[in-house]
Amino acid sequence: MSAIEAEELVRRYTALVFNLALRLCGNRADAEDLAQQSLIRAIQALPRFRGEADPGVWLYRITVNAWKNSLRAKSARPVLRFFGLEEKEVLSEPDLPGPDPTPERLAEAGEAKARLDRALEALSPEERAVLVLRELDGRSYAEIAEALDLPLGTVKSRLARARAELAVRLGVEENDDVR
Amino acid sequence: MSAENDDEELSAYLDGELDAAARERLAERLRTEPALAERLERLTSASAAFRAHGREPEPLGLAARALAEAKPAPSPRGWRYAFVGFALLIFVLGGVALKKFMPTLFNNVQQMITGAASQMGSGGK
Repeated sequence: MSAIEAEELVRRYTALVFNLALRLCGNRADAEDLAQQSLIRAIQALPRFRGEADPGVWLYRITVNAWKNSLRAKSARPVLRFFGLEEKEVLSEPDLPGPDPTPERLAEAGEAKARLDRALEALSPEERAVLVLRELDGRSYAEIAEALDLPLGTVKSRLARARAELAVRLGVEENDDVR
Repeated sequence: MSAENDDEELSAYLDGELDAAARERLAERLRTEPALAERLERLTSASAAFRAHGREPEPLGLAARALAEAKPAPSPRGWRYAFVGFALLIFVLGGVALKKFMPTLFNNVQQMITGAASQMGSGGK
C-alpha cells in the first residue's frame, strides 16, 4: 500500500501543482497540460512511492522534471521542422497580463493582482517557482532545494533576488501611479 | 557586505532560515542601520504581495480529469498473481486438449502422476 492515496494526493496538491506549473510555463493552457500530466504520472507511480520523501516535494519534482522535458522537446522542434518532420506549431500567447492590459482584465483580476503579474514577468521561471513553493506552500529551503533539484545556496539567492526584484517593480509601479 | 548578500540574509531572516548566531548578528544590524531595516520592510512587502495575489485558481475539473485518466500501473504483486493465474490456465487447457486429441498419452501421463503420488504416499509411512 502506498503512503498516500491518489484522491488525497490530488485533493491536497492540485491547486499548488497548477500554480507551480503556471509560474513555470507562463500561460494557463500550457500550465493546465503540465499540471494534468504531472498529476497523472504521480498517481501512476504511487504504488512505488513508499513515503521516503514528502508527497508534495515528490510531486513538485515530477512537475519540474516534466517541465524540463517539455523545454527540451521544444528546443528540438526547430531541427525536426528543418527536416520537415514536424508541422509548425502556433505558439500560445502568455496569459499573464502584458505591459498594457485591457480594462476588463484589470477590473477582473484587480489592480493589485495585475500589478503583481506584470512584476512577475521580470523574473525567471525558476525564480517564480521558488516563490510559489515558499510563499504559497510554506516550504523550507531544504524542501525547495529537493523539489527543484537545486543547491540550498541557489534557493536562498533566487528567493532573495525574486523578492528584491518584485519589491523594485511594485515600488516603481506605485511611483508611476503617483506621477 | 553587498546589497545582494544583504538581501539573501534578510530574506532568510524573514523565513526563519538563519542559524541563531547569524540571526542575532542581523538583528543587531537592523537596530543600528535604518536603511537595512527599510530593505527588510520592502522584502516583507513583496513577500506579502505574492501571498495575497499570487495564487491563481486551478481550472475546473483538473483534479477529476487527472484521476480519471490515471489508471494506476499494476503493482509487482499484481503481476505475480496474473502470471500464476495465466500459468494455471495454460496447464488446465493443455490437459483438456491432451485428453481430447491424444487420449493414450493423457492416460500414460495420468498413470505416471498417480504412480508417483502413491509411491510418495507409501514412502511417507
